[in-house]
Amino acid sequence: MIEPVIVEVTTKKNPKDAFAFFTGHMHQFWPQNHSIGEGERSDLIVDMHEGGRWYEVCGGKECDWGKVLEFVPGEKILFAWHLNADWEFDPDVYTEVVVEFAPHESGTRVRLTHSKLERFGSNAPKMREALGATGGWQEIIGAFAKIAA
Amino acid sequence: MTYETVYNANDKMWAALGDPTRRAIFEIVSDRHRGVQEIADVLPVTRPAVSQHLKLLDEAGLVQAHKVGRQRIYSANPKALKDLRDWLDQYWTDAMHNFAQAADKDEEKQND
Repeated sequence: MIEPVIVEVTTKKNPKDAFAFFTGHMHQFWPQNHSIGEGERSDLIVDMHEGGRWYEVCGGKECDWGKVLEFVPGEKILFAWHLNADWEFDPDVYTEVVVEFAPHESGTRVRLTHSKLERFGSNAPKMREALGATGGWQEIIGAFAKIAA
Repeated sequence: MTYETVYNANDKMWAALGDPTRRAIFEIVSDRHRGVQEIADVLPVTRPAVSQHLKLLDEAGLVQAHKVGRQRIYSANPKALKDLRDWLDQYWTDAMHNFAQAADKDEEKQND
């Protein structure tokens, strides 16, 4: 197994409200440049139930990111992240992203875990082409570089 | 590190993981150290085929081998996929910090 990526933050909201804010206002806080569609992202939506879609709206077009595997309000949401390493939707392969909400002295501790990363290799034949094109990781890395500078 | 160097370093790795059998082998040795025969026993492929796949995984830096007697025992290279993990780490950190900031701001507004 490849070690999962884990990111933890805390918020002043209680777990119930933090969960509602995370799932209901994603477009508001998700970095605008993290997008797979063309044109500016106008929305980023999670359907609030198991089996629901996770998708963005770009230039009026809907682009899927994945599906909701588990939806437990106030506690956790588990996504099947169907974006592969070239940042394209792949219906056949997914990695897992779980976001967990736990009470914390000053509100809520929110922990994101991205696991099953070994599955990222599955679309390699297409990868060279996609990675070289605009978009994909190139843009994201560019954005990271700016943040890190 | 630039995008180009990250990508080139991962080139062989992606090619190696692109094959479903190699990915299965990689997952098996990621679980725990195994010999070639042990891997062949749980997959529908021959022992020579497993050896060939392991060779490519080794060249891609995904697995490492050590000798026990006459047998080579394989395990996952802990440094494998490090670059990808680094990107993702930054990606999620970015998204989650934005979330915490926006959530706190929203909370303060509600309490006003």
